[in-house]
Amino acid sequence: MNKGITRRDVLKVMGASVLPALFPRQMDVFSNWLQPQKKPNILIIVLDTLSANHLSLYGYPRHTSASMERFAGRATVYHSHFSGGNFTTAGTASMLTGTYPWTHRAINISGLVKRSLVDRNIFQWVGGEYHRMAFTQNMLAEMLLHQFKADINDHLPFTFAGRELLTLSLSRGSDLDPVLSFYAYGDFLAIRQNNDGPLSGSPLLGLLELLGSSEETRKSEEYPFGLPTNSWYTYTNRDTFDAILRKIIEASALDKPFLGYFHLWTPHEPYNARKEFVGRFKKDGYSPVSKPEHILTDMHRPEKNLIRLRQAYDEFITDVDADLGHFLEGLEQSGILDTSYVIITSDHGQLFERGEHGHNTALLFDSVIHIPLIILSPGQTTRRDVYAPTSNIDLLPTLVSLAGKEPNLDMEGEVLPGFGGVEDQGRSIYSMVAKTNSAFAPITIASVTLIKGTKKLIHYAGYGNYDKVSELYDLADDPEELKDLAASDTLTAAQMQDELLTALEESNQAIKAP
Amino acid sequence: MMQVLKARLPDLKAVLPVYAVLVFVLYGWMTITFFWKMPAWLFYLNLGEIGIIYSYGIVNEFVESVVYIFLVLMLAAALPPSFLRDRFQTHGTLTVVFLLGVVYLMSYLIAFQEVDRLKAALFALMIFGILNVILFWVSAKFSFVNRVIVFVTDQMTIFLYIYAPITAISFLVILFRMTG
Repeated sequence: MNKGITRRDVLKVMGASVLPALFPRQMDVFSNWLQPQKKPNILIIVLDTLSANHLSLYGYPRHTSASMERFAGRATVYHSHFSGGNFTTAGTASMLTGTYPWTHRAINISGLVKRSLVDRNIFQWVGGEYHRMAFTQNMLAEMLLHQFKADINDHLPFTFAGRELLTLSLSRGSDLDPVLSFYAYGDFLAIRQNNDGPLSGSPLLGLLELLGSSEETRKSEEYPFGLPTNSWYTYTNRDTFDAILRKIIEASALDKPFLGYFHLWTPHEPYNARKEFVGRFKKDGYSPVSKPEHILTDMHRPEKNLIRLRQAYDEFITDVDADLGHFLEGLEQSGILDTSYVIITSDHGQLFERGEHGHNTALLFDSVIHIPLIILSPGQTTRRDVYAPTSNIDLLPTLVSLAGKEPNLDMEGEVLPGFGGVEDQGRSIYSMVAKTNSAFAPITIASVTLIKGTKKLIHYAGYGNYDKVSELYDLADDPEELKDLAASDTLTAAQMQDELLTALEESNQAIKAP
Repeated sequence: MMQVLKARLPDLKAVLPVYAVLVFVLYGWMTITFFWKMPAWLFYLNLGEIGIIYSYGIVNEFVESVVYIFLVLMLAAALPPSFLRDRFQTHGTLTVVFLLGVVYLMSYLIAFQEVDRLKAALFALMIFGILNVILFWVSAKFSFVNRVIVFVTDQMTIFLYIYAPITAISFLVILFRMTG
């Protein structure tokens, strides 16, 4: 029998309605407890061409990474983290497939991941229970993301948050067939500039691109060298981070967690920093160690020139670090930092030594493969430092594990220490470059490095004047890699060379097999 | 309107050889650069993918050739008939050579010699302008030159038979790529 609303019922409702006002935090916890728990989000920020050796976080004398240091104060910091390759295609493909370049085969500039590995990428492994977003300002990485498009729910446009197009974008091809139409138009029909070949396949399109493109970006009071650019369009890091933050806040409102992969162009050259950062390290007393040219040095840049470029690069890092700090504050304020794994890393480093500038090189010295890795876990309050060598192929199995799945045995990487993996000082880590070797053939023209403990062996093969030569360095005693120990520590050199060549031969056998 | 335009346009028999010159140059150049690029692609693309890139090239050159011939036909319709329409096979061919020459020379100057865009345009227009005035005059003055141009362009129509089916197949390939 219905008795109607009693005085007691009214009091109960009134009491319940004042509770949230009196105890808001406790009520939030209570309501979260009542709702089914979402898995933590996973956010990966890749700053292109960021060498760990240029970050004060890792001991660089110039104070370049204040924001990263603050962030690292309650995160896990990996001190010996290496990329699988020394340029975007190889390094990014290693990170996204959890395999070394000799397996994923994206070894050439503009190369692609082996077709049989396309559906074994980070987005696929993490799975459909995550809302998967991806964005990059680097066209080489964009080609890889297009390969994985079936597993990405929200692939943000290449020009997302860009300011001014520097090209008519004919050379980008069509979004309906992004990979092959890019090669057709970007690498053949509508090339803007090609110093080592004939005119573009379609001189009319090539001419239109030339007339519609601009090599120089607009200079301003704020950007004395012009706006930052990836040579397709101009952008500012603040705009880009703000747009990414908005996208993340949108995604966090969904009923499932998100995996976000955001790969920025900065601090890749041109090093167009803001005025407040330009000149910051001029005459600061820091003098990098001068290193003799290597036999495979290609650019032969004078030392003075390298010092100037290094200063501009360091200033550009400081610039992007400030915007990264602003972005991380935004994440904190929106509460996303408490519910997400946030990963900051890079695809490869940059060289300013031995006459070489950049990363288009056969050299594998530390600056070009040693990259940062900082991981914040939800609720982490203290810093943890990991010194054991790790590789960016470890990120995939780690994320798979964080997503609550079993890492697959086919993955070459291991779960990172701090997330279920063990610190193994004696683990073998590889990195390589084989740009002029066919992706379909056994690797015979390459530089391959093996890092084991503090020892590092670099093996060079297939270079006419430097074939089957190994160099051995002790990174603990000689972090600048100036003393080649191959002739003095022959036993270690021979053992490491054997191990490296065996691994290389195994990968070559796999490619030879039908 | 259409009647007027039709009356001002040259005969189809004269248009085809001129179009054949365009096809020969555009498809030919595209194929040469394609083979120049191919060794690099063979490093990381399979033959099927390289074939698709060639299909993009073919379709692109077809569209480009239509743009060029459309321009020349519009010019023929706009100018007094004696300038272009009445001797279209010869004068149309020379006009096509002028257009292609200006585009190729400008591209070369800007891309490889880093010449300022305006200067490159003026230089290319001047060079091919002078060349074309001379050729127009020579072809009008000496019937032998006229006959040579007609003979050569007639021979080039063979390329239309070769490239027509390739273009059709390429269109289908690209259509499949875009919609598949």
